[in-house]
Amino acid sequence: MQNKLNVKDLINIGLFTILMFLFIFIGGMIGFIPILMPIVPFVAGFLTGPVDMLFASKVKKRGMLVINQFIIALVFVAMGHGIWTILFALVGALIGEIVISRYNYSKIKNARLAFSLMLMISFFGNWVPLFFARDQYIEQLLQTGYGEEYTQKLNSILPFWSIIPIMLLGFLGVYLGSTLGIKLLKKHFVRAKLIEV
Amino acid sequence: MSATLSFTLLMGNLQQRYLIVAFTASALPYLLMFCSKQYKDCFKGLSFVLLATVIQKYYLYETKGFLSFFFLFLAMLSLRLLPGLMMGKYTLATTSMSDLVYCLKKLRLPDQVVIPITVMARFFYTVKEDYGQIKDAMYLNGLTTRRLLFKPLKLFEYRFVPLLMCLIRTSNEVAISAMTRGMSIGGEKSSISNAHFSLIDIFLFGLMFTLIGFFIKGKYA
Repeated sequence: MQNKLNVKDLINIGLFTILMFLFIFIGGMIGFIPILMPIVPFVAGFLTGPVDMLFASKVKKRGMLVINQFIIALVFVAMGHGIWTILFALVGALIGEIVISRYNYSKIKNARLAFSLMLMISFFGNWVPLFFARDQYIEQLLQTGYGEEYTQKLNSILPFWSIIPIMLLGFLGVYLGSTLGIKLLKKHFVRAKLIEV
Repeated sequence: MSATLSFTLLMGNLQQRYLIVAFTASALPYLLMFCSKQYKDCFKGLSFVLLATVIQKYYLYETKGFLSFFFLFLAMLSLRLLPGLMMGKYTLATTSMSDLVYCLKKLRLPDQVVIPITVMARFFYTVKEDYGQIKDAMYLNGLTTRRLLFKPLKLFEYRFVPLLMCLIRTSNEVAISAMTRGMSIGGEKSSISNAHFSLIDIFLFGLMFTLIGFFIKGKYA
């Protein structure tokens, strides 16, 4: 009973997957303005923080993160992000699982760290084509109708070395969002006896 | 063998990846919607696509500055995101849940993936409805979006927390109803639906493969 997922958990996973995806998507919408593109992981991570913390406190079984990230990655692939998304999402999810399953899933600060690491890697998966196959990606952008100006701006805002700061910002975003989430949890949900931290 | 059954329902979303600037590719979802009698959506969508193509061809490379961003947004949205989303909407509208579950199980996806996916479809509308209701409830209390726009944290708190409470309660109820219906992991499930390949599916498959062919040709030719 302690470690196998049952139907109730799967239903909760479905719910939180869709919430997480929604917030990541909203954060990603900001990327339409090229100047704001580098902080997309930060914003997306910040928005998903509270959802993640609730997720971690509702479901405490092995495998919850893998399913979560796999489904989100599938949706991103269907939206046109490239197949590396799935790979990085699975890697991130595995790392997240390892971190979150220490202390038997009970400490929420551990969960915060796990989500930060996991989302940092998964967000990176969305951006792999941009950094590693730059010319092809630019070609693709031009072909699917982004204008010349957008592409050039994008190219100049994201040089190769910026990958590390962006990932770190992603980590920071999820961390801060999760801190906010923990406070929200303690303030509202625990009092309403819906969950226990 | 019957692994590809589910693609007849899900393949619409694949279409979005293969975007050459081809008008027919975008128009396909709308034709399908026309067939399933959703005339209003069909015409709205078709007009958007027409507009976006025109903008993209003639105006996108010439305007600069803010106007270019606006046009870019519109054209990008219509040509890139919208066909896929519309296809997804069509899929959701015409595919009943039992069909979808049957096909996903035939694909031999593990239960741990099938159940969340089906639950997601159900929760999507729940989330939208609940959010609307919460906004109305907050309006009655004087906490409108306009007033809270400059206090984003408070806005978050007043919208998000009630939404989550509502959703947690809903998910508890869904879980109880699922267990009452006898849903369990690894259990053999009987199903009303009898989805199988038919001639139309082969035809649509052929169409998709042609699209894929165009895409590959466009990239590597």
